[in-house]
Amino acid sequence: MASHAKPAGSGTKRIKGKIIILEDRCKGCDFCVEHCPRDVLGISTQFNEKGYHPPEVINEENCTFCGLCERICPDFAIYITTEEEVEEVKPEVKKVYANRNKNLPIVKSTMKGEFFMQGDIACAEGAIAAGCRFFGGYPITPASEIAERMAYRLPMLDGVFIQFEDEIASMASIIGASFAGMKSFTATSGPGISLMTENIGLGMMMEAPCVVVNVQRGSPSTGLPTSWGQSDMMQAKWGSHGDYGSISLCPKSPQEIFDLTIRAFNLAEKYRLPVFIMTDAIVGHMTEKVVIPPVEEIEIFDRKYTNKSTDKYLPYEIGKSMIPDFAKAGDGYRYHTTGLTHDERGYPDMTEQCQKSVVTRLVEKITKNIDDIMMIEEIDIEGADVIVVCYGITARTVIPAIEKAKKKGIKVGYMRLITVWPFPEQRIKELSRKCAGFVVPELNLGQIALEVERCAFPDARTKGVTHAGGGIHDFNDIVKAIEEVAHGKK
Amino acid sequence: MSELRVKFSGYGGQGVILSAYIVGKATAIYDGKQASMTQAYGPEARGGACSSQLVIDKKAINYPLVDTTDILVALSQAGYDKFLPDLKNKGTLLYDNDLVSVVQDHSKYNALAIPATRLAEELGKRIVANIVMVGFVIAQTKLASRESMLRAIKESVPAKFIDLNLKAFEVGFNYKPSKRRKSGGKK
Repeated sequence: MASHAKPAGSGTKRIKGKIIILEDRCKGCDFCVEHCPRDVLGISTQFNEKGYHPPEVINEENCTFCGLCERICPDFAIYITTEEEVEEVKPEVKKVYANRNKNLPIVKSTMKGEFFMQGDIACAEGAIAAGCRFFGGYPITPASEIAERMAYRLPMLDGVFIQFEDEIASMASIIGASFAGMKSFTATSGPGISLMTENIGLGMMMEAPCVVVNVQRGSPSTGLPTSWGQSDMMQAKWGSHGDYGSISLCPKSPQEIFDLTIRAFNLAEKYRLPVFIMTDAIVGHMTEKVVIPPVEEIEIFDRKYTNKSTDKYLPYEIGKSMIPDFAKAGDGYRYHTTGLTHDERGYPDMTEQCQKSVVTRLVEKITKNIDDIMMIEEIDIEGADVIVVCYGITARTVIPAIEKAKKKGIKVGYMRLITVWPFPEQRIKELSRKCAGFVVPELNLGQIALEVERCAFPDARTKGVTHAGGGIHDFNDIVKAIEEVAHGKK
Repeated sequence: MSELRVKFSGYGGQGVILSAYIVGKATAIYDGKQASMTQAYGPEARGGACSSQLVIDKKAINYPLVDTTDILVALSQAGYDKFLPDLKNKGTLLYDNDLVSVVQDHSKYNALAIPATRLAEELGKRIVANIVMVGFVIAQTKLASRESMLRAIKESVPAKFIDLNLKAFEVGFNYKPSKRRKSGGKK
């Protein structure tokens, strides 16, 4: 079987060959003529011995000897032979973006200024501002615009964009790029996250800094491709098998997607793990004003490289910070890493003690640094009888309901989880002793509400306001829940 | 002006999303207001029902979706039929009267018709029907200033079609709708 032109050295060699037609086997179905991608074949006016018109070669110079005719012929009446690679084709060096949409400008730096920008695009620009130069992914609604934007922007910045065959490979690629020294990320939605989940666990175990964006849509399975939900929240914490600490950020607007994407990269580099951005199709597909500050005003955390010599360095040796230092790839350091439980050298170590120390550290590097990682926004929380806990798009849509409940004389506090994971357990416990209860509206059938309940019990009650996705809460339902919790106090 | 909720509706491919984007950009970037745009579409690239929703306000926008509508723009019968019930009393309805042929009772609304697609075809390209409509919307509702709109159009459409789009905007902007029928129209 022949193959396409192969790259060799600086130029490309073209394959020469021959098309051989066994006319008398032909039954004149024309499949070869119809399917030839380069219109090499035509129908002959001659008859064969069975009385059919066999094909004939009409444009031989167009043939690349791809072999499609050979594969498609039901009667084995056509085949090709190839000779040595003889002809050298002069290389045509073109910048990838030479073929871009001509309406879009080339911007060879981080953008700055005020833009009317979609959430997904703001996410891509945030990644670029954070220093990300590798995107490996597979487009999926409603996250496709992130891949599209990265495909357009990364070649301008000498970065690398690769569309892989699926999300399994995409996640593997960003782990690889991360270990090679690049800030890397991928973006997907529910079904894609499910495919990535195994390799997300690998990233957790190998401690690969990278960012995974989940623009949540209605689920499970294919669900509502063009509509929204918040039903992957638990998957971000418990998706892959095993115990590990997780960081998930929940933006509420395109501006916040931009800001939190930068923060996600900073946290990923600092704590060495895949960090999630858990947004949803409303925020991802929402267009609002986004202000991008000059690059020098953006706070960037770059990964810590070891200052040990090559003979002293161990890939998973822990200093005071619980986070192992990286070695620069190509600088002569010996490096080994694996998804198996490993010792300081990165070599598999199947002992109970090693398992304990590795897994405990994967969890504790997050829980012990929770004050540095966790972000929550609180409004009117002191003296509140009812506290509404919300995140993502719901954090905006609950506001009319809170205003209405306040008009009815209820003291309502507002708590927005900017980082849903790690979860603010201590803060909820503390508040549960001071208030009547919590109301948790979310676009799923009760996920974070259970976490709140776990921490608030038995001092305060928790009422979830559920919605299966694809729409938004009826605000009267939220008002009713607030009233119910408030009056339950008496 | 307090909060305004605008819905553009039509079929995928008519430029419904771009219309809202341009108006949103003009208000959010050049007029100094807040604007939040969301979109809803089906899986089809062309031909499916499509709508975009724009909320414009002087202060920060909390609720970005459009349920009760102040201004409804209809470029298709399906969009008209689906979203008219959400238009509030005395709300403004702007529609393409070639594409929306079966109309309901308009006595509750401020209904204004323009043959946007036909005007666009007279300009040479029917794809600018959305911009003709946007011009008409801006003239009738003063959602954004004319200057901001021209700037936003220039920055949002392909370079070789800027002139055509600006022309389309002017056609829509200067179109004088005929007097409304008091009886409410045919059913």
